[in-house]
Amino acid sequence: MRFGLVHRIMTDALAALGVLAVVSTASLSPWTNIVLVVGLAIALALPESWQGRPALRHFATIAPVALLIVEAGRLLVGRFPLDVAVEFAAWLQVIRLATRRGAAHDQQIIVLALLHFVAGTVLGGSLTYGLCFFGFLVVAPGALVLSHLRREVEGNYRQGARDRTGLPVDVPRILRSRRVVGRGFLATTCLLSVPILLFTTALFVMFPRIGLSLLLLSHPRAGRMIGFSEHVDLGDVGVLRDDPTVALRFEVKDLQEPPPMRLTLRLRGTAFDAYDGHAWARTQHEMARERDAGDTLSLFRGPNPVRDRVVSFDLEAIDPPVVFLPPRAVAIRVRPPNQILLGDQLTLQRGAEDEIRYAGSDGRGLRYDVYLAGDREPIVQGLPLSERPRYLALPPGLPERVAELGHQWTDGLATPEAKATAIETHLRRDYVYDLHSPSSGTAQPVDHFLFESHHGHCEFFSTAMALMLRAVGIPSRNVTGFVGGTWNRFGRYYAVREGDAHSWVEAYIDDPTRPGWHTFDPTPPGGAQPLEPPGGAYYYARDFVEALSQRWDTYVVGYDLRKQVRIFEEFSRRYERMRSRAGMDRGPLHHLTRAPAVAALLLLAAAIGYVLWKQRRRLAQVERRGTRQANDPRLDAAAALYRHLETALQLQGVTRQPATPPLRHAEDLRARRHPLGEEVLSLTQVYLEARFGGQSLTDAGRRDFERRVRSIRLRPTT
Amino acid sequence: MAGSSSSGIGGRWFLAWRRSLRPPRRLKFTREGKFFVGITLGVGFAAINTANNLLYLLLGMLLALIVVSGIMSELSLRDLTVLRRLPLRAQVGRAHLVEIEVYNHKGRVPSYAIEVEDLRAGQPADKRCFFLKISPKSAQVAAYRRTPTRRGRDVHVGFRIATRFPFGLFEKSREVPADGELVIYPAVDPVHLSATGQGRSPGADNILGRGRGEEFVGVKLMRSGEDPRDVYWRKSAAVGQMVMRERAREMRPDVTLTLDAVRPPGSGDEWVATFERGIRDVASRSVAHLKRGDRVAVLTTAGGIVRADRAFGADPLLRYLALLEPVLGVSRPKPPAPEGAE
Repeated sequence: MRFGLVHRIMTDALAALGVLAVVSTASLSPWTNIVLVVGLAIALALPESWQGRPALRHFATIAPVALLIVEAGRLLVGRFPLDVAVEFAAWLQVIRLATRRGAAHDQQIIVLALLHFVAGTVLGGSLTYGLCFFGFLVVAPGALVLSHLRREVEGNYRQGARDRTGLPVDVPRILRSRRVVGRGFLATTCLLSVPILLFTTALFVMFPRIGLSLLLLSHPRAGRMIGFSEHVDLGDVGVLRDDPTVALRFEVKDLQEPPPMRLTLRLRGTAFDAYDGHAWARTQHEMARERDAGDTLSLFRGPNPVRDRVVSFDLEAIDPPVVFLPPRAVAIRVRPPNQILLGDQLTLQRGAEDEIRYAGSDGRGLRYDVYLAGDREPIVQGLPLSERPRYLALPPGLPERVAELGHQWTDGLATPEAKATAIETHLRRDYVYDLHSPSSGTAQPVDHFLFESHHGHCEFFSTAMALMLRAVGIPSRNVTGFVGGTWNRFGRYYAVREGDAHSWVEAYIDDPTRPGWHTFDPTPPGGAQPLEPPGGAYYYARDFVEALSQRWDTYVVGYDLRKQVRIFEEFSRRYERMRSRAGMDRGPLHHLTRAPAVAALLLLAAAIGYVLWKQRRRLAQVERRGTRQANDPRLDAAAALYRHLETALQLQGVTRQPATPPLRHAEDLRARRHPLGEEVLSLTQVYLEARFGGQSLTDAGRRDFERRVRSIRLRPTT
Repeated sequence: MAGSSSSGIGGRWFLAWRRSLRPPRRLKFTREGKFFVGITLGVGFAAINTANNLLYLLLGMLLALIVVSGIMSELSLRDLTVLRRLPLRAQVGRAHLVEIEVYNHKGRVPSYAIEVEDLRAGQPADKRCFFLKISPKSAQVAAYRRTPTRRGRDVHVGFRIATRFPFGLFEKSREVPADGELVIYPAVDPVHLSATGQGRSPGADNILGRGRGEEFVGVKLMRSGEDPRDVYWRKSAAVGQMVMRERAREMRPDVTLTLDAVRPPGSGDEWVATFERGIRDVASRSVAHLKRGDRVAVLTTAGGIVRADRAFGADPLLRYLALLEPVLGVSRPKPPAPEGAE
């Protein structure tokens, strides 16, 4: 394999991995990413012979300056500095790849690639970043070695060093050489990634996770999620239906086997009490900071792990940071991320309309467990009379017929629950779910939906029901959240996607047994199902990737002090179990087999082994030095014998160049079928064994050598 | 005496202990290494500060690269033997090649990017040879060219073997002792000599005398201890006694050159420069005479003398001049110059 070619391939791979790591963080705009990738491909495809052309040289000079000016301008107009810096570094890499000449430029490429990975850690470390990092780990040792060797070749030989017999060395010849880099060399450098990976893993697992949070650079990167902010326009939630981005995952303990592929679970996010005819909003905005002792928040009562069903949630970073809760949730326990010594601690805040929000998670989403009360346990919620008017208010200008329709559907029904159910049933049965409702954009969308189009998405249904309930005197509010999700067979969780966003109604029912907010979903069943069918090769592959991504997020990105402690505790527990099974936890071995004692013994054994090894090496060196003394007369005698041979060969017209080692000179003679080739090779081997191999030449051997040299000298020249 | 032996033993122990403390390898950061360590420290600080797990991954990788660099550079540097081959002679102003041969004793592991510096006593290390790759159980030869500027004894004390392999972050080196000595002859300029010496007439150049030449001057009886190879057997048989051939000695008159080697007290650099010029002049003229076939004798005012003739070559004379040092003091009276002196 040609040295120069292999070096170029490895450097290109490093550069590409660095750019991909940056692109995968999605901090740059999609168009920028596309142009970057195209630019990278062009730069990689440029032949090396083009890089000496004047046009590229000018480009190499002008382009970085122009890039600097452009990015400085973007900084001045208010772009986030980290994004600007990352973009600058990515474009600089492309320019350098297209215009590199020499080992110094290759080293700059490697440094830039490393900086890209550093930037990627701040911008977001998805699974793609992890795969790029792994690729970097495999390729980096080889690329660094070759880059160094090339630098050495160029530095030593190009500076006029007369390396051999005073003749200059042809550097391009060395770069074309196949003798420097072989398969063994490549395999070794790639295999170096194994110990590097082991060391990295060990440090990653064992280094204590305590963040100081000094000089933190926070990057605003949470994805914005429509429908859960202060103000929701009618139609905003429905249009998310096609978005497959995973919003959260949940695991249900003690699930039946096999678990159902789809689970229609309503996850409540936020609720709105004020409708102005086109949009829902909240009348009250204050948030109260809530947190019980430790990590638990009681919604109705404290958690009961024995009695309550537990659902674990893994929420992606979203904005606003809303906590989603399934029905009959009575308590929440959060699992805070990495311990930050100085910095904002994770807090939960309760807002109006029973909304729960979180703060202080450093934009990394939230993991929490929700405790659900049993079906028979009554959950009582009160609604003071003073609060009821805002849940009964109808928007100004709402056509009368909307209220009339509500009365029409509920006349003759005695209880509020029956009335609500009737409205729900009518809407489900008589209206059609349609993502592209013609009622959007009309002056009175709900009126148009109820009386004209009869087509709409979930918000139309929920808004219509909420207004009709208010019209018949039942307090109601519009709720947004998620419905779903879909089972992931690899990760063993349910995935809820942004397309599962949904809107439904809560009506306050003054039930004597269980007064409180009751949930009603007037959307026809087809529109209230989790997104997507579970089958197909594409979904199979996507499930796998999503599960891998989730594992990466949980065990790598989300690795924290708790997990560390759990790992060590588990290790300790298993070790104790092993000790007790082997009977080593009692008797005389009890103290010796305790973990600290075993660790100390291992360290001691390693130290003793090291000392013994050093001593052995020292003895071997002394022995070798003893046979290799520069002033050893035996060695001098061997050298003198070889000089006689050289003199005899010179008389025969055969001269060894100073640059040619003796063995190679002899092998060359034999390869050229010189009459003296075999004899010279044999004598050279005798010399080498005596000079370097530690085998001293006996007197008989020396006389034989001299005799053979004499016969060469006396041989008639041809 | 007991006191001196215990202090001698104690001194040896102390020296041995100090030697053991000296690190077997020297480590120096390269410019790239300083940047790399700087980046590693920065990443480490950022990782501890933010508890960002991806930064810990990066930190682990960077630290692992440093550790791997140390191990591989040690592997590359280990088990190498360096040999120096000096030329037979060297001269001021003329370039000569010094061969450096490095042999890799390792059975399977090649050594990459090895730099060998030839260390000379009292002089900065400025000559180095680079070996890109030395395969296992084989040698590589390189040479460096040197043009001496001063005559005298050039003492080589050892080698410094260094490598920046594998990543060029650190330079690891070790020194090995390897004595060597090269005598640098003074510069010799071309000198044009007249065909005959002043005061010498052609035809009178050959003065026969007894010696070891090719021609015979006569016969004589063999005495004990004489070389039996010169026995004239025919005559011995005729005479009945062992008779020897007497060989002739071809003689040309010695050319004697004088050199002032006594440095007057209080003399400065000018005298030294003059002395060096004198040496160069004497060397040049000696070589010219020897080429012409003359025998040369160089006398110094310090009392030294060296002779040379064509048969033995100029080496002894040039070596003498190379190592000649001036003597401080009053000059001795000049010895009477033999016939034909210049």
